[in-house]
Amino acid sequence: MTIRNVRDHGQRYRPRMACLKKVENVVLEMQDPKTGVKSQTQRLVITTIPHAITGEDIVAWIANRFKIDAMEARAMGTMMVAFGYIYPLQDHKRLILKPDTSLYRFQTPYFWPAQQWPVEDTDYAIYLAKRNIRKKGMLELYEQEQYNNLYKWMNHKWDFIVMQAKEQYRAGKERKKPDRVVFDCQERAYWVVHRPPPGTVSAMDYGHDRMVDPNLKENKTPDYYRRIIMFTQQCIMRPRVKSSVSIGALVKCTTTYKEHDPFLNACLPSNPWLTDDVTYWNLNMPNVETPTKMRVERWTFSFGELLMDPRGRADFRLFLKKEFSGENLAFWEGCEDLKWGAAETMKEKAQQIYKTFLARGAPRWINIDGKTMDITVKGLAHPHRYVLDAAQTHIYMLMKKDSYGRYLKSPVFKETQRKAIAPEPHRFSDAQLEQNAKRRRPSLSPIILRQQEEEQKAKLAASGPVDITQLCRFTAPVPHLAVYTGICEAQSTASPGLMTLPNSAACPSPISVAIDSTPASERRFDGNGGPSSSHFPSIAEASVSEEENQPPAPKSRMALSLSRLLRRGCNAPSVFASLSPKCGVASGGGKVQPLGVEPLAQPQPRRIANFFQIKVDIPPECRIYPIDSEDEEDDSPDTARGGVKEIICPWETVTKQDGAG
Amino acid sequence: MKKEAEALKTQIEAARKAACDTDMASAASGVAPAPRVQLKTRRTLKGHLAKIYAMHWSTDNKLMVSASQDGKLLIWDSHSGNKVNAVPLKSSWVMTCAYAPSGNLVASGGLDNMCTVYNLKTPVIKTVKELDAHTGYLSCARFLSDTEILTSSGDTTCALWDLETGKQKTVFLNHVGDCMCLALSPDMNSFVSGACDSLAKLWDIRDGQCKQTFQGHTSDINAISFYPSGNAIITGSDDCTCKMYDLRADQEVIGYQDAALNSGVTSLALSVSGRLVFAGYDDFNCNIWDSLKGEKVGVLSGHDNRVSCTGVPVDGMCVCTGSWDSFLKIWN
Repeated sequence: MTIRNVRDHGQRYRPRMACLKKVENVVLEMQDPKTGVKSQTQRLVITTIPHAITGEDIVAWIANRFKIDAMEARAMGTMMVAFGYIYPLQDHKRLILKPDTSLYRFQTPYFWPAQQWPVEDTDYAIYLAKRNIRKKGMLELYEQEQYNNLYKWMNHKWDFIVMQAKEQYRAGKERKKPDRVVFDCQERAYWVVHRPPPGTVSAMDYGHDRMVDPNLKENKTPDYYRRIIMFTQQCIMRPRVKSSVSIGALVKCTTTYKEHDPFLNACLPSNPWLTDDVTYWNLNMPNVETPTKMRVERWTFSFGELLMDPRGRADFRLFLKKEFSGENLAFWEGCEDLKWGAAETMKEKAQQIYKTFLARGAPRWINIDGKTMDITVKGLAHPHRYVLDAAQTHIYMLMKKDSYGRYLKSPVFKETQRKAIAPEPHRFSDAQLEQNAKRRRPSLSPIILRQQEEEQKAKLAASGPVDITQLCRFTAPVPHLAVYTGICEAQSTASPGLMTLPNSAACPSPISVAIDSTPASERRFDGNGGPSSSHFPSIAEASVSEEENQPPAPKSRMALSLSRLLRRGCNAPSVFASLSPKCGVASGGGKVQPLGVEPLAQPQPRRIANFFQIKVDIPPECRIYPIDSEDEEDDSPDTARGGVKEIICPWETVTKQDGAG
Repeated sequence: MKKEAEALKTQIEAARKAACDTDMASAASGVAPAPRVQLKTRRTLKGHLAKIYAMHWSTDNKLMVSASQDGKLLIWDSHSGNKVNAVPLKSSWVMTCAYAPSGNLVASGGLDNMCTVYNLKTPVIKTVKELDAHTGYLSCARFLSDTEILTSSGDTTCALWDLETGKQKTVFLNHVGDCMCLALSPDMNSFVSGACDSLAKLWDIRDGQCKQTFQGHTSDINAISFYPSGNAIITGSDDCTCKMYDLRADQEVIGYQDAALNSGVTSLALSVSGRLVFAGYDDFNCNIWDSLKGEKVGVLSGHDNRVSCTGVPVDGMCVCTGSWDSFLKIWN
């Protein structure tokens, strides 16, 4: 059996070696007798070596040719030596270019790395055998090891190898001495490049091979042309922007952000990487109370910037609250939540969003045009992640064109701008810098940070607007109220997402019916026959939205008691599980609960129920989350009752299609 | 048919020329040249025992993950230099790693053709999913969220996976060479991939179609990145050059090359404003280019072997280079 080296170390699958072509051109230039590097005949020991060049000559030539400085020229020269185009005569194992009088020679093209044949182990074995014949025990340690290895696994053709080695040795003896010495040097240099001593960096090390042969010619079938034609036709039809416009935009973007680029402008107070002082990071935490001036400036660059920054979004939300148009932002955030959240809760979320924002008579109705509404409603019959895209884009553009401009001129923003911090640049002395370096502490894990934030938010939930940004952009909806503490989200007894929605107790939407495997059992949760709540974030959202839609309606301060929620048999663990399948829930003191912890026994939720009470302001006419209203139906004034009308999705039953919702 | 295809191609060329009424040089002529950038190594992160193939910053600007062929993913707190976590890999031939934007998950993949996703939130790091459907090595992976991940593979396809089911949601087919790299656009609606067929393609994540193709390189594209505004991409290739392509004008805008450079580009990263391009090369250096002027404004030398990965965190405070010499260096 012959072992064939299938991998072609030549150029076909590793066109990276394309750069070798460039090097070859340079080397050829260098060898030019007139304009190349000066070479002379050197005497080495007793033999004369023709065409030897010194390191410093090489460096000078390269520096001159490419107009670069000596350091770069030296690096480039080293690269040529590493590839094997030039080899050192003394100290042949170190493939670097020494910019002094050390001698080098050009390698013969036969031994250049970019040749057509792969570097085979057979040849290496022959070479080592040959050297072994010449002087027994002349092989270096690593060479001996390799020789032994090759002997082992090439045993079947060892006779051939030894025979070849003897042949070559004999042929070599017949050459003239100087030629032989030269050839030996060249061959030795070749093998130093391709079989480097251990611990050295080899330029031939190029990583993995490609799978697809890039030189493979694709069959020119009619199908191939058809594809090309289709693609090019689409390409032509695509609108093309004039270069001046689009390049101008690129330049503008760069110049706008120039001040904010830490590499181009010093950042205040100081770059933590330079001074080891983390004030900058502390001042720019995601939800810091007073942002820095630079941060506020970034919000003015584009609407996207404002929304992406949690602090900016909070500010914007405050502004919208004052304008009573907070539903736009809430809707947008809900859509983001839908897009990036877990798949199990998608249907409920989509329904929830519809009922809250889109349905006729919805408590937080957003203003989108008829066509978009049509598309959205049709899409919601079969909800998927991107079903609300059209509506979301519409609202986004609305906010961008309208609210954003007003925000930037609003007193809210101006106040924020005024209060923004412009920290003084640090001026550390050397001693202080050293101190800082010593006092470097590992930063808190973002997971811990987020839990702390969540706990903080839970405490603030009653008083201030709850920041639900954690819901949207990055995480699957993390139950961000610390009420979740202690509830394990791992396994749930019932499958998640089989909650009936609050409003559909009388007439459940076909979606929930369809996905309910045991609708009856689910709905049998609670004693008082009220529907169970869907999920916490919506309650939080409710609290937010309620916050924003404050007076004129009389406020009813309702204590949303977790106990009541849980007593209704809200299958809380399952909900949490569905909401955050990947997010461990912190227990008690901020420790991360491991996944796979057994679901807590039933009594536990009751324990926690007394632990937390979230006070929320819910104006009575907001009936999105009737778990609240259900509780307090007795308390709320009768006028509110009018708003408790059943919001039914138009696709629920054929009969109700026209009038429902 | 061949003639028709040729005719269409010439039509496109003509349309492109018509749209190209200016070039970057003139557009950027009003901009002051970027200052010479001299960065020093602020941290050297030692801990890997073999070549580092990939690194990725977390969105909190301090944590990062690096993958090395010693079979480990290391999660570093880069500012203090501590190793926060070490994830042992089933297969040591890892070629890529990624950090989820939420900070909860990391992913790795390589010659095992699989993308393995790990949960960092548990005290003992667990494998969440093993995404196994590619028929070639995994060259790059990027998280969209905690539920979706994009991968590019040596089997010439890219794929969008649903992390909850572990199945591919969309497969992006169009490349004819190994896909080597991918980059997500800032708005997360599209991504670009670079492949060994020397083409960069822009894909729409939703409908799975290739929207635009960018030609110009003559060798494998190893690195690709979006410009901060999302309207341009920068690619780095084995032909020793980097190029910027404008998505809206559908053509190459500027190239970053130097006659003296003879080694391929392995990795790319951009500063926050997009003005500086950090490109890692095979010749052990990382060069810094001025993206608007096309000039080299600095060099990061210090590695003893090829620079295999480069990354700038979200706040742009520093740049990290990882190399085959098993060290990661943070420069500022």
